Amino acid sequence: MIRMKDSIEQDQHITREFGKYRLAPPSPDLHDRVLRAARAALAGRDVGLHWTDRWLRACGAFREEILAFASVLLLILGVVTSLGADQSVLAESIERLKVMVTVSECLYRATSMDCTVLKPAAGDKESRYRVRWNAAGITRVDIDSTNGTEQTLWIFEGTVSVAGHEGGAVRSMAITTMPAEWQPPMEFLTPTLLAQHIKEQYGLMPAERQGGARPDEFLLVGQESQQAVEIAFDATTYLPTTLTKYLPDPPWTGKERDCLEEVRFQWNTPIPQELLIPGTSAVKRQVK
Amino acid sequence: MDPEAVANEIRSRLAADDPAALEMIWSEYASDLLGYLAGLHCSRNDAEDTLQEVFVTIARKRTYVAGARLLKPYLFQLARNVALNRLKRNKRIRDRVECMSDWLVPVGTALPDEDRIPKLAAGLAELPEKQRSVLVLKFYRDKTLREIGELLGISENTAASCYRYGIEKLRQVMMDDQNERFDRARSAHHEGVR
Repeated sequence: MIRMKDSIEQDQHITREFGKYRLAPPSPDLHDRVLRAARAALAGRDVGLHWTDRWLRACGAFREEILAFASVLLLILGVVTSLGADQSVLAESIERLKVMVTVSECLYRATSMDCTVLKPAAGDKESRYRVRWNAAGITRVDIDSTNGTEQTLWIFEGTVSVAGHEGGAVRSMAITTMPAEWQPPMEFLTPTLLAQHIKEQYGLMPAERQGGARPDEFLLVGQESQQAVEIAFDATTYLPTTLTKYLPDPPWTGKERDCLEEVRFQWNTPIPQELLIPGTSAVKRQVK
Repeated sequence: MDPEAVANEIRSRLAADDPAALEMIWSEYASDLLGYLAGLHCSRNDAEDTLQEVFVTIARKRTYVAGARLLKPYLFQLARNVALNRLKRNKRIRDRVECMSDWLVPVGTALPDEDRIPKLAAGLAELPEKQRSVLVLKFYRDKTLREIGELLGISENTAASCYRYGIEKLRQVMMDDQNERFDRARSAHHEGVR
């Protein structure tokens, strides 16, 4: 038996075999038949199409364009939204900055300050301080503490002069060596100090609810050492009228916040000069 | 015209329900599709019927076709699906001898041995679908293995493997046939001598 063993020769042979034949030509009417049927299907349009196909047809062959358009739209929306958010944040920041600058300027321009600080204590007791400052830079602080001690401080250029209400001698000391119990009103010692606190400490923002403010006031809220700070400003003078410090909002309870400190301000009202001289009498009367 | 430009033109026309798209598909792809289908069915008639069904499907699903990224491979895949569905639907196992004679015809006037057509066609019919498709597209549609890979959705290497295994199997069939004929001729010769 003779067998062909050379596979290359076989491959050539097979190739030759393939070459001897060709695919049968299409039937003469195939072109017409196929295209007629296809055109009929095309003319039938949506008839018999599945609803998804009909929906896709409704979208047309512009699905890619629609998708591209939708993508671009989403992109623009995203950009606009983010820009809008940024703009509003920016606007808020600018507005807040403007308010802070105006408040500071007004505080720096103040000619006198008269504020009363009330600090509730246990029971119905409260500490009370009255701080009066004039443009000459002298501050008088009348202290009426819960333990019944009444004292008056005069502070001028870093020196504290103190006199008891019983008419004792006036003592002086450096403000840095001042006892701790006199510290609370120091925050409101001068309008400049107050302005610094407002600018740097409280982080004030416009309050979401302006319900607590009078019609001629606007309210800013902030925080200091875990305490909520709320300051009402006169909308005309941009000077604070009331400053209140609260314990942080009790979550979910809806209870009224505990007031830690309340400060009421009066601005630019003349302060009798004699009250600002250390050792002057009628101290207690001036506190109330 | 650049094939991609043609494909884009077809896409846009299909999207616009323009019947000219069908004509363009015919002129661009019908011959290749018919050859591929003939190889799949091993029958000219079945291939033609399937081709018609393919075109009707193209017309009906024109939105999908218009959205196809690679139009020609998409049409080949569509044709394959239609062909397989048709085979499944008809549920008939074709008589190889019956179908093998009508899709390959002799070239020119040279008349080969009468039994050679069935043998070559029978050998192709014995091959797995992919190997057969690769050989048909390679020999009868002059496609490179890379092109075949793209059309059939396989890699060039896979197409090459299909080609190699197909040839090997076909060689076996052809060799057996040749040996058988040689043996027959020798026996006849011995009979005549005696």
